[in-house]
Amino acid sequence: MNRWILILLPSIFLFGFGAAELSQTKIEIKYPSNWPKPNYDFEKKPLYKERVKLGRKLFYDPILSRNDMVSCASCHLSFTAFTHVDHALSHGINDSIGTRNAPVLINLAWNKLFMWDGAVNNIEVQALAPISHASEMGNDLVTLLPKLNEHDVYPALFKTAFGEEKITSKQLLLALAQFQLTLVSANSKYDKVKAGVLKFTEQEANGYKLFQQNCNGCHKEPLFTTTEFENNGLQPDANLRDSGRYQVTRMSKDLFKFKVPTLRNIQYSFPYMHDGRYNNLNEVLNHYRADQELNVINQQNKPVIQITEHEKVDLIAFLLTLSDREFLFNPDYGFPRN
Amino acid sequence: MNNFLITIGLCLLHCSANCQYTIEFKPILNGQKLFLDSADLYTVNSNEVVISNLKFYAGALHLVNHKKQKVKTDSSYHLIDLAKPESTKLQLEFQEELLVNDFRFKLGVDSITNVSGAYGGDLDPTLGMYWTWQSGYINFKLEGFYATENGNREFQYHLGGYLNPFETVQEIRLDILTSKKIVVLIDLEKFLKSIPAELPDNIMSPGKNAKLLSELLVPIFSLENE
Repeated sequence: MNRWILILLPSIFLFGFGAAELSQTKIEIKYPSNWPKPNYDFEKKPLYKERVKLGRKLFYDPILSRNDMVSCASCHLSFTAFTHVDHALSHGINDSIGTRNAPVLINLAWNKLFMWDGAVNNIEVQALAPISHASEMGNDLVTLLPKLNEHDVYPALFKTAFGEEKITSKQLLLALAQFQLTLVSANSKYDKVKAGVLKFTEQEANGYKLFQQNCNGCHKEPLFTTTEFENNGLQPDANLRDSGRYQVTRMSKDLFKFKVPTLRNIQYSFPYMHDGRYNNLNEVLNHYRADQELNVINQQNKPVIQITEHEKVDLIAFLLTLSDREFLFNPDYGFPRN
Repeated sequence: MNNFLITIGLCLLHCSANCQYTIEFKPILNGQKLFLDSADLYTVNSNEVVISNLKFYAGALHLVNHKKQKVKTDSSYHLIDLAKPESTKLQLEFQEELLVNDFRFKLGVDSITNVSGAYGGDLDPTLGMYWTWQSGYINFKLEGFYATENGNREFQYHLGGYLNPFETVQEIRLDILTSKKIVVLIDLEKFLKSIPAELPDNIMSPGKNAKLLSELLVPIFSLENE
């Protein structure tokens, strides 16, 4: 009899492990049918509900930082399009100030490269940068992983999500990536107009026309970005000395190029530009307008648009139709309360 | 049917003892085996030199026959870390006896792997061979110092980068194998002497210096008893 129990016990454990893997539920992101295919290969690496849930918990947990004070959400707040408003340059651990304005986290599955300079080439390895940066979370994986493995809650959550006993860096990075891949904004007024559900006002329609004539080259519909890198003629900040994409490629053609940000939810993601130098859309449009005094440095690259003050108001009215409150207040994206 | 059985039999016979190649990476300095953190043992350009860290990736290991056909490929990446002696020895096993002439491998991680997301195993980013501020693997890491009259002069070479024109991965070809026990010498004296004097002692990011130094690594690999 005792022998049978000894044989049966391991079998139950084995079934238990099998069940952990089987409990993983595949999910898919939803987006309009006229959108391009995401850059992320969901066929090869599908999303799983349990991994997304785990990634969301990690995203909001300051355990990722060295002093348990800074979470991803510290600089990427859901209500403000997952960016850090009110600060030109985002701040991290011990009130350190970084050198760039935290970018929005919107429709990341369509991006090929990440960060303002494209230094990160895959969303799965993106989290390494803020976790390890001295001015962001000031941590490293070698310190963080034992902390997670000895945690009261995380070992079980990781096991449910990945079916393995030990928490590894690959699992941590995948979980964070999976949550961020679900951050899809496709329910703005613009989208509803495109779907034939709503109509633009006359002012918005005029703004849309101006947008298509002047902005669509870089902020291309429907994502409102080409996801490429451009030099928009901003005078380089003498203190920050940020040469942008050049820092990654070391090619002179990439000097002062930064990633074209999406304009979706632009109403909420102020301040603007990679260094947060402009506080409102009026200032941004003034930068691009022909009647502004050109910068001494870098002016040859400046895209110039010719619009009147009146047209500027219409263009801004259109940009506000890119706000997606269903995205900003999506209960699946906010702080996990249970 | 008989032929089939004979073939199987031959395979079994062959593979019982001889179908395994072992590869050992053996770094040397001044013609002697390299030990980490050993003072008073080695000199380069009349300066005493101490090596504290040597790690690199060997990938796409393959053996090539006299017709220049790849006969065996191991597609995984191996992190060779001198601080972990067991990592310096690899094995390639076969199902049958092969006529092998060359041994080739990639020194470093190829660009496809560099852009394909998070990995575990030898490519785990916790192993000190992945940049965090910029995606990409360090292919070859050498750290140490020269003991000079004016104190220690440290050097750190973290060589990597997968973007053109500064891609750093190299193919190492070691021709004419005579034994199944392959010992690959890595002549660090040759490398350190070949570094142009005007270059900085710390090269830790992708770019033209990393590319130049990566190219200087190619001739330092050779077969023992060649």
